[in-house]
Amino acid sequence: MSRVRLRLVISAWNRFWFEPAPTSTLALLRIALGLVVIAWTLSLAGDLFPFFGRHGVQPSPPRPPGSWGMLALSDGDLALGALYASLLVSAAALAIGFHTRVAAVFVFVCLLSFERRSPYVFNAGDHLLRILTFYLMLAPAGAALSIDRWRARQRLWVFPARPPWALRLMQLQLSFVYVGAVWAKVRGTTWNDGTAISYALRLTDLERFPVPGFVTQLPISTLLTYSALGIELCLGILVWNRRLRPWVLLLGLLMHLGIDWSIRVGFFSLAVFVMYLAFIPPDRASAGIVSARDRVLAARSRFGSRLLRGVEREAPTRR
Amino acid sequence: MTIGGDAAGLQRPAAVWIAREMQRRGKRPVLVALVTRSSAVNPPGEGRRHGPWLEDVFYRLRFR
Repeated sequence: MSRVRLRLVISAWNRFWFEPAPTSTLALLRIALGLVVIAWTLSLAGDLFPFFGRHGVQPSPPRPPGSWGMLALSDGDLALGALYASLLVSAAALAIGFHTRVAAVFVFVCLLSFERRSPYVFNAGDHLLRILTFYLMLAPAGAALSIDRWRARQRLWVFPARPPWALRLMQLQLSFVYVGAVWAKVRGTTWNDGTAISYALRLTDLERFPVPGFVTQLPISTLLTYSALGIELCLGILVWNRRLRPWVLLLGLLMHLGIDWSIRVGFFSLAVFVMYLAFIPPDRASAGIVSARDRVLAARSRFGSRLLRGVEREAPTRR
Repeated sequence: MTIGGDAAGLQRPAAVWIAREMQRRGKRPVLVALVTRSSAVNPPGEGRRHGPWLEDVFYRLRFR
């Protein structure tokens, strides 16, 4: 490789990972992830002690070499309750951007501790939430739209530029997830013969809402099976093409809404949607946030003036 | 969840937990049996969604 070409490659590498970009995308992702983790935590409330308690279905955690978690230190009811409360509070802090870095570390450690304590009750969506929190922990996630920024007496609606490498890691994660999924699927049988979707939609114990019978029949289910593979491959590769990205993400959104409609996959789709946010261009994200703020302010002032007119109309009758 | 293979160590604690839950509801269990209930999903186009349900007791725990 010539020296000029090498220099171009190095420059592109540096631009990709380190050229400062507005932190609006990261702020959106942080808020969404915080809200999803709050919902995730609340969904565990009813099963907390049966799943994770000392007197539950798994009195002691499996201890594969190298694994760790807070509940390995103490898994009494008090410790479990404290971990649960910590997760709920730190997820809320993450969403509002209060001591953001510390909150992200707490959320990561708490999620990891729950998942290590009872690995059998979780699926890929739960692991994806933990992985996203890990990346967020490394990112300047509180730089924009956060209480941290407000406390530092900085303008709230400004999105300072920071190196985006942690966000890039999330984008790459999305790519790897889909390419890995396609790779695993094409090595099986049902994805190759076009029957996979038909089987998946007829698993009674995972069914959320039934789909019409013809969808699980061969011509349609074959089309759906190969379409799912195609969409996943596009999401893994074409998502890096700026022009195709919105369409590819839209297809992914529709696909996951379809999955969530018919199959109970827990928090998988929500975790994937949070990951999609990493691909919103920062300038678009900044403009979208400011426009949403303006709309809220306009609606508030319209509501306020209507309220004022109402008070003025009622005033004479009261006298 | 199938409590077999890697998770075989969960069989006894799960049975004990079930017995304890029964006791909390005022019952006195003498035997807890863990059962897998499975049915093969038919290939598409074969009319019925799945074949007959099969049950297999894979773990028993007696209480005195």
